[in-house]
Order: sequence, then C-alpha cells, then structure tokens
Amino acid sequence: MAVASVTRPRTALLVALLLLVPLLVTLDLMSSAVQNSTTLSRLFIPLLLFSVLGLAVLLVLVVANLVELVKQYRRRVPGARLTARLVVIFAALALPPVLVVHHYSTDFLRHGIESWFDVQIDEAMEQVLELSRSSLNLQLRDQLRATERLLPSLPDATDIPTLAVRVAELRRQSGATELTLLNPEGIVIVSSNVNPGVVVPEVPPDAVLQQVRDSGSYVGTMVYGEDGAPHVRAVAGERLARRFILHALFPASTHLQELGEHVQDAYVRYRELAYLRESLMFSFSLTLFLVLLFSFFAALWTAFYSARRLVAPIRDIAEGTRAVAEGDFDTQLPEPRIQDEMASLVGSFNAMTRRLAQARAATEASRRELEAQREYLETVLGRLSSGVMTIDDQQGLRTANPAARQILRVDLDRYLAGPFAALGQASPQLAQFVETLAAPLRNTSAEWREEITLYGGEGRQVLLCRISPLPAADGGHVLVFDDVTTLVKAQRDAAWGEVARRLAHEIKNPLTPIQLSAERLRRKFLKTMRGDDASVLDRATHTIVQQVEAMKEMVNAFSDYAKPSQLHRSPLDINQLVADVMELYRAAPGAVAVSVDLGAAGARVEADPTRLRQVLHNLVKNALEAVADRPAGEVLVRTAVIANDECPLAEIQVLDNGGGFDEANLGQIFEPYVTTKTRGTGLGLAIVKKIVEEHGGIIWAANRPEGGGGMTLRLPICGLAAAAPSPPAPQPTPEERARHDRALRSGSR
Amino acid sequence: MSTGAVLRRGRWGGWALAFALAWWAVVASAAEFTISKAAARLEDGAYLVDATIAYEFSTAVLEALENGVPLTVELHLQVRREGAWVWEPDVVDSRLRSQIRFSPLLGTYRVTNLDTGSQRSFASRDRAIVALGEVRDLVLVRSDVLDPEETYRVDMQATLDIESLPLPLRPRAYLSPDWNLSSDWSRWRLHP
Repeated sequence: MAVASVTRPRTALLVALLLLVPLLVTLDLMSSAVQNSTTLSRLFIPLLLFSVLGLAVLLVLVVANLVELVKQYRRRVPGARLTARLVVIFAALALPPVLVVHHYSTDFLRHGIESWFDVQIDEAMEQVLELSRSSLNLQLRDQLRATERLLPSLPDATDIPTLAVRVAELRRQSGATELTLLNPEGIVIVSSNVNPGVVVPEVPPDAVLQQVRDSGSYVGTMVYGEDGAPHVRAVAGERLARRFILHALFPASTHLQELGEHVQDAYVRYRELAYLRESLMFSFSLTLFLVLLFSFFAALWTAFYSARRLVAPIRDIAEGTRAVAEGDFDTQLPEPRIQDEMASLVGSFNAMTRRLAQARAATEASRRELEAQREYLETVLGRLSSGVMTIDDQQGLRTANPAARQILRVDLDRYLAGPFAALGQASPQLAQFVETLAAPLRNTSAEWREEITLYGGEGRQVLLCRISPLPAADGGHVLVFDDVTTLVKAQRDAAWGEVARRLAHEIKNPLTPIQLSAERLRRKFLKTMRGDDASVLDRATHTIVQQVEAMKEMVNAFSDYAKPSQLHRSPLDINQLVADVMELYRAAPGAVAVSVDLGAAGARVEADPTRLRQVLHNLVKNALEAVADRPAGEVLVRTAVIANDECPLAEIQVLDNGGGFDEANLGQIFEPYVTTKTRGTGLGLAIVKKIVEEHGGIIWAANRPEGGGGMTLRLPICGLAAAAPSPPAPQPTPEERARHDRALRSGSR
Repeated sequence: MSTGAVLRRGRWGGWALAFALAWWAVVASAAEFTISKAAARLEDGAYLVDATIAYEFSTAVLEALENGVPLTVELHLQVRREGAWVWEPDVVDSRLRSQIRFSPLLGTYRVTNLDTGSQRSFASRDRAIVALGEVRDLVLVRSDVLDPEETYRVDMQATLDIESLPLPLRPRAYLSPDWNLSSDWSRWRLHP
C-alpha cells in the first residue's frame, strides 16, 4: 500500500507532463501558425491533428477518472466524496472563466476581423485598381498609337536594305527597344534592336498575330531581355494594304509597372483576406476552442491529480483505521513528503499503531506467561496424587485434577462449570461426599480439615479432605483430598495381624491344655460319677471342648486373615474352575436351584487355584445361606469376559434371590467382623476381598432390584483363547455399578 | 457490463463506421479531374509525355480563384518496373506543380509552371484552365535508364494541392469534398 500510494501520484504526474506539455507546445505552435508564420503554417494540419488527438486522449483520461470516481462514490470508498467535491469545485472554477474568455475572444475576433473589411475600403481598393488599370491602359494605348503612327512612315519600296534603314530610323525616333517588320504571315522581314548584338528578334505569338489579323492591333506587357525588364508589346497591322505587321517592344515605365504590381498585390491580398475571413475566423475559433478545451481538461485533470494527492493520506488513514479495527496493528502509513497537518496526522496514526502493537506484544507475552504458568500448574496438579478441586463462591465446580477423577472414580469433566452438588447424583458414595463437604464449602472462611469415610459396594473409602478459601479476587474454595483408604487398611491390617499374633500366642496356646484337661476330666471322672453329676460333667466338658474348638477355629481364621498369603499362581481356566467348584453344589440342600452360566470360554487367569476355590466356595456358601429359608431359592453363578483397554477382565458373578444386603452395612460387609449371620467368624468376606485383591482383582456387592444380592469379582486375564468381549468396564465405577444393577434386574448379561 | 451497454456501444460503433464510410465516399467521389490522351513517346533518347487533363473545379474552388486565391495542381508521375518487389524503388517518382491565379489589374489568368517558372497569361478563365491541363513534351525518363528486357508501368494522377492553399482555408479544404479534387490514376505500360 505504501509503495502504491507513492508511485501512483508520481506516475500520474509523469503522464500529465508527457501529455500536457507537448499538447501545450502544440497549441502554441498552432497559434503561431495561425498568425501566418510561413514555416509553421505548413505544419498547421499535423499540429491540429496532434492537438485533437492529444485532447481526445486527455478527454479519455478525464472520463476514465470520472467513471472511476463515480464507481468509488457508489462503493463509498474513503475519500471519494472529497475527491468528487474537489473536482466539482475545480470544474466550477475553471468552466465559467473558460466560457467567458471563449465568448469574448470569439466576439472580439469576429468584430476585429469584420472591422478590417469595410464598404469604403472595398470601394477604395476597387478604385485604386481601376486607376492603376487605367493608367496602365493609357500607357499601353500611347505605345500602340505610337506604333500605329509608325506604319505610314514605312517606305513603299520592298527592298530589304531600304526597309532596314527605315526601320532602324523609326526605332530610334520612337525610342523602342526593338522594332520588327513582319509580313502578314508573321515572317520577319527586317528588325532593329537597340542592342546590335541581338540577332534574333522577338516574334509575337500566333495568338497575338491572329488578334492583329482580326482586329488590326495588339498591345500587352511582357518581360524582355536578359535582365527580364518589363516591356510593352505593341503590334499594329496595315488595315488596307495589309503588307506589313509592325512589332514594337517599348521599355515599360518601371515606376508605373511597380506601382501597378504593388496595387495588384495589395488588391489581391485584400480580396483574398476578405474571401478568407470566414475561414480565418474558423481557424482562430478552432485554435481558441482547442486551447480553452485544453485549459478545461487540464483543470479537470489537475483536479483529479490534486484531489488524489490530497485524499491519499486520508484514504490511507481510513484503510489503516479499518485494519487496526480488524486487529492488524502492524499497519504503518507512508508519510507525506510535505510536512503539513496531514503529515502530522499520519505521524500520530503511525505512533498510535506502534504503541498498540507494542501493547499487544506485551499482552501476548503476558498471556503466554500466564499460559505457561497455567500449564505448569496443570502439570503439577496432574502429577499430584491428591485430588484437587476448586469450587467458586456460587458453589460451582470450576476445576478438578486427574487425581480427583481417579479417587472419586467419576468423569468430572461432565460436571465442570456445573453446581458442585450435582456431583452427588453420580453415585450414593459421591452423594455422601457432597453432603459432607457442603457445609464447610458454604461456611468456611479459614482452613478446614477432616477425614471422611464413604461407603460403597467395594467397601469403605477414607478421604482426608482439606478446604481452604481462595483469594478474595477469585472467591470460592480449593478442596484437596487424599485417598487414605489403603493407608487406613494397612494400619488396620497391621493391627489385626498383631491381634491375631497375640491371640495365637496368648489364647491358642492355652487352649490345647484346656481342651486336654477337659477331656482328661471327662475320661477320669465321668465313669465314676452317677446321675446328675455325671450329666453335668458331660455337658460341661463337652461345652468346654466344643468352645475350645470354636476358639481354635476363630484363632486360625484370624491367623489366616492376618498372615501374608503365599500364592502359588498358575494359569487357570475360569470356566473350568467354576464348573469344578459348582459340581460340588449340584445336589444343593433343600429346594435351592443352583445354576451355572459359563460365558468366559477360554478365559484364563494367573491365579492360585486353591485360594480362588476358597473364594468361590465362600461366595456360593453365603448365597446358599441367603436363600436357605426361601421356598424357591435360586443361586446363579455366571462368568463373562469384560473388554478393557489394557487387559481384558474375567468376571464371576454369584447372584441369589435372597434377602439381599442391608443398605446401611453394604459398605462394610468386607470389613472383618461384619456379618449378618448368627454363626461365623465375620472374616469370610474380608478374606475373600483380601484374596481377590492379592490376585490383582476387585470385588463388590450390590442388591438386585428384583430382590436378592449379588457379588461380582473381576480378575485380569492373562490369556484369552476365544471369547467375545463385552463393552469395556475396567473399573467398577458407579456408572458400571448401575449397569451391573440393570443386568441383575434383567437376569442376563 | 450489461447487454444493453454492449448493444449501445455496438450502435455507436456502427454509427461511427457509417459516418466514416459516408465521408470517405463523398470525398472519394469528388474526383473531378480527368486525364485523357496520356501517352509517352521516345524522342532523342528520352521518353516524353503528352497528356490532356480536364480540370473540373468546383464552384467553391472557382470562387476562391476569382477572389485571388492561387490554385496549385500537382501532377504525380510514377514509373515502376512491372512485377517489381515491394521494396524496389520506383524508377521515376516525380511531382510537377503548376499554378493558376487571377491578375485583377489586367483581368487575366496567369498559369505558372512552378518547376520551370514559365508563365502564360490568358484573358479567359476557361482558356487558362485548358492551358493548365495541357502537358506537352514533358520529359519522363531517359531511355538508357530503362531495361529493354523489362516492361514498365507508368502511373499519373492530378491533384489539387490543399497544402498550398492559404492557411485559414486548409482545415475546411481537408474536410470539404469541394476541395478534395483529384483524378483517378491513369496507367499505361511502357516497352523500351
């Protein structure tokens, strides 16, 4: 844009100079030609043609500029209105003077030229010519009469010598330059010339001779001699005798001749001018018209050129402003060469755009810095094992890091920018989470710290939560929480291990002597006692032995639970394992219907078969016990393969239509000593969960909507020969749990 | 550009073409000069041309003559080898100029050969115009310049010289058919 803005006016100026200057010179030459300069008059027509051509080009340029201006005006191009106004002003300023000059010049020319030709001058010129003609005729007639008077003086003799003498004598007397005597046929008889050297006399032309024969005489003017002096030719013939024709050449009066010529030239010039006055007027008017047309077109051209020069910075500023409005702050306008107010304005505009560009660069740098800091924070937060969430002062969830998603096992992106309370709809566990934190989030203006426990199908989850208020500018709170379930469980396991060790050491050891002592008392004294004593001893020792056995079992169970497992892993076909275990329950007690649905064909897990059998037995026994008092108890054991991105999972479900789990205890059924049965150690499901987790699997419990409960465990598959994977469900998230419930409701998966 | 604009432009172009053709036809049809009896003869080693040209001047031209405007006619003579190439120069390319003007002092018409300067005066205008058109013993070309084996083409045309008219008259003369006077090209062959 800068280059174009500078180049276009220069090009226009160059074109103007190349066109206007030659045109002006041409018109000046035409003007000189009209003033009758001999040299230039020959070039008048080419000059006229060149002028017309140049004016036509100028007209085309002006019209082209005009058309372009009209287009720009209609398109509302910046500067078009100002240009149009300037052109109109220039035209309005140039046209009236041009018209006035043309009118008065033409009038002046017409009157001036007309004034040259007057009736009196016409008559005077005619009279002068007539006077000259009369004077010349008078001289000619005098010379003719003188010649005619010589004819009678010729002798009658026809001999040549006599005639020659007489003719010479007559020439001297008459003052003629040459006197020649001819016969009627025009043949020279004798001749006498003032110059003896002239041998050949001047002979009158045939036309002259014919006129003489017809009318008897002729007189006229001619030039004669080597010097071309004007002479009067007088020829006279004898009317009666018709013997001779006398041809005389008299020197003309030079003065009279010159006067006559001058008069004739002046008359001819006058007549010619009078005749040409219309043409002259036409030529003057044409030249004047072309000059005025040139002036007008030049004025229009100048108007376009000046307007363009004047408007260019304004248009540049308008376009630059538009560019700035569209965000282009790098726009720099070409500064006008002339340092005027416009240059100052352009300079200010350029300074403004520079500052805007600098400000934008600073803003951009700041934004990039903020972005970098944000990415840094995101990276740090993303690598944190603690869940971090921010909640604004309107209780809306603003941000959450990946650890929060992992700990809460919910896709938090769906809840971002929404109310924090909506998170409770994802699962009952999260409902507890939201409910517990709602009050601190609303009321806490200082640091808040608490350990909360969430209960779900997989057991309880212990979160250590901290809430801190955010700076007043942003408002809201930041919630940081850690999943300390594993830590708590490890602590608990350690405690239970210690209890088991102490039980084994402090209780199990005395049990055997107690049992042996009781049996010894029984053997020794039962035979010696009679009646009621024997009966009391029998019941007492029996009870002691029985309770000691029970206590042993309990201590062994504690021991099993507390001590680390020694797994003997081997590839194990899930379907085969389930089939083998369920074979033992084919003849189930009572009216319980046990059925098996093996859907994980070929799925093999790396597991300890003994421990896994223990798990299955435990689950099936629990199910059978749950439906034992039901009239139409059903237990279904089902296997399936669940697709997963990393590793497919083998799923085993043990479902029953019993009373189901108590919702209040659902999150604690895998805890030690949590049981709904009257008998048992309360360690069955705790051991089951321990074994499953030792195999890298998960297990959870859920109630079936149509009644009854179900246990689902998943183990990673080490090899899958042939199995059709179901939709992915790597983790038992609340959503998955819902699907699980639906599957239980429909009875098929 | 709309169809209407194209049609309007085409119409203007048509009018311009029609005007140009009409003007050319008028100017071209104003050939009032006639060359007759044009011939060349060999005499004393040179070809001499005799011709009679009938100058039929228009009324406007004659009026100008009566008002003292001298009229100059130009006789254009060309001799060119038959079948010559375009770039081959003419053997002869000459322009002979004669002038007729009115002498009001004596009421005579003077015919001047502008090349030789010879003058003749005539009492009547018709005689002077006839004399203007008489070409006698005009040396065309020397015979030794011509190739006896070739045939040559002689072209002759008479034209009223507008450039010799007074300056104010020229613009009109160029535009008016009354002043654009010329003969057709008279052509004959020369066998050396």
